[in-house]
Amino acid sequence: AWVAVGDAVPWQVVDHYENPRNVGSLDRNAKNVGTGLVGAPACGDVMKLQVEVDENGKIVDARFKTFGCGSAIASSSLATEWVKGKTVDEALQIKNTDIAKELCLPPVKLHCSMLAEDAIKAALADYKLKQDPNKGEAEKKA
Amino acid sequence: KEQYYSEQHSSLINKAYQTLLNPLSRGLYLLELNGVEPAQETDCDADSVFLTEIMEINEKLAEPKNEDILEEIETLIKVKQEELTKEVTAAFERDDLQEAKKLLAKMKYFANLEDKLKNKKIPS
Repeated sequence: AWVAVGDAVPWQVVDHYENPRNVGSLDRNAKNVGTGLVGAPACGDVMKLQVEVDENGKIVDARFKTFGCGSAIASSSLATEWVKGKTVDEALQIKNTDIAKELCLPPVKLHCSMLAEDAIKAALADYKLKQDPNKGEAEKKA
Repeated sequence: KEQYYSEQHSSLINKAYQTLLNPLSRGLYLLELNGVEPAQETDCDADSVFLTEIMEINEKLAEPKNEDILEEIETLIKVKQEELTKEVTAAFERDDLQEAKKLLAKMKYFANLEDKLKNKKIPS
């Protein structure tokens, strides 16, 4: 169980858990879709976050699928809400500390917000790579 | 006072037994004894094939209860866990603690799946 006896679960987490926003998938084969798939080895949570970016570099849609604790689900749900409407570079600025603060995550669940930040970055990196695979290769070799 | 000590020791023995009985907790304990911390960093690009597999099994489990599919998944999880246990054992035997650490991280994902499967089988 992800609720520790004696600890109140922040209502923000409960809200995202019971009314998750943006659950689902986007077409990972679409050129303007970036897919980030990350896992937390310490707790075994897995998180998939996808973004759809328009021709102006703005994120117009986002979806997530997370299998793990309530805090992980809430963190990724919030992440999809936050990236919508941002440019790719703006979305890269989202920090796990912001997510944790918004959800009032207890210290023991801070890694969940970190996982969400990693998922955002992975999705955006995937999107960037799809736009310019040659550049991606050049950057890797550098 | 003696009863207190007995309770403490009894509790400790139970904890030790449970830790050593389960391959994952046993492996993690062995890592600890060797001064190696269990994996903490986020798994991403390098492990995308593995994570995709875990994601797919999770998605199947999330679907409405279907006895046949559950049995299929149960067998798959069991086979994977046995495979990983063998590989972890081999890693420890040749003192490859970093490999053991990686493999134990994989086992954690399957342990979670096993728990979810058990909960799914409980009549609702």
